[in-house]
Amino acid sequence: MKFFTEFLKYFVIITTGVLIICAINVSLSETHGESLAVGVTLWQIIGAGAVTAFVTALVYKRECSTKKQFIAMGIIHYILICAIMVTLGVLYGWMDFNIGGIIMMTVSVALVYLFTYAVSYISAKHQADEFNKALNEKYKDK
Amino acid sequence: MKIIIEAPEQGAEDEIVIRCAELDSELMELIYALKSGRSKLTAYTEDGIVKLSPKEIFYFEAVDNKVFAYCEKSVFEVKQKLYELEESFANSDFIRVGKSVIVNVSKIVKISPSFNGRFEAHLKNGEKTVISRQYVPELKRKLNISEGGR
Repeated sequence: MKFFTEFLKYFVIITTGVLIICAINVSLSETHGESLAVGVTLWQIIGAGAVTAFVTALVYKRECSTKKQFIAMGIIHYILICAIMVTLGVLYGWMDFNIGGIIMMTVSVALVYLFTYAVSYISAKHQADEFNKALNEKYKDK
Repeated sequence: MKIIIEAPEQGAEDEIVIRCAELDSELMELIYALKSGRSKLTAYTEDGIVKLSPKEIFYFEAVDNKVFAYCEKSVFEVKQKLYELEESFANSDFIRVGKSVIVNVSKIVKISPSFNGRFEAHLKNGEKTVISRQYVPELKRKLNISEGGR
């Protein structure tokens, strides 16, 4: 159940990030804009979100004890997600399989990464604020 | 809550009678605080044995099959296992925050987000301890925070 909750959380965040990046790409692309808009169906985006969320939940299921481990896990995760997205990108016709296409996809993944981390950090900060408020109320006299 | 203090009969032992409709968690903590206020934990140093009040202890940590009690500036070894301490202090301010750490929540100054869904507890003595992801729900219960927020 816990794994499923984590999966859902990542799925929602990542899919939102992917949607935003796709929307930006469609808006900015002059040559591929129309074909991209036609080609990228909602199911493809949701499918990509589901696959990457599944991999993310699997990778982050393991708790790291040190910052080094966490960074190493993050790098492995990023490479995995890039590989998945390049594969899906070629499969779905989101990108051309060349250096330019791969760079575009890895940058897009990095932007989704940033978005995901920003959302996670804001959520954790909010939770920490709740803890601190509760701590102050409970132990204000101690 | 009404508090009545009566003098016992000549020669009778001091006693506390709690008359309540429901024994809730707040009352349990109060009872525990009354009991633990007098109970001391036996701890060991190179110089000998000391009796520690739970109020003095900031956190317990298991290191290489030994358990240590960390006070403001000093560290003592205790003979109990971490899970035994967790059971003994179940209704108190102590809470498990990691595989090898039990922290006294009343000694936490603030909590800040850390990496990988963890949090960091900043203690009154300047030390920091990590709150692992899996123990966050328990901390929420301890601080009366519901899963969806307050």
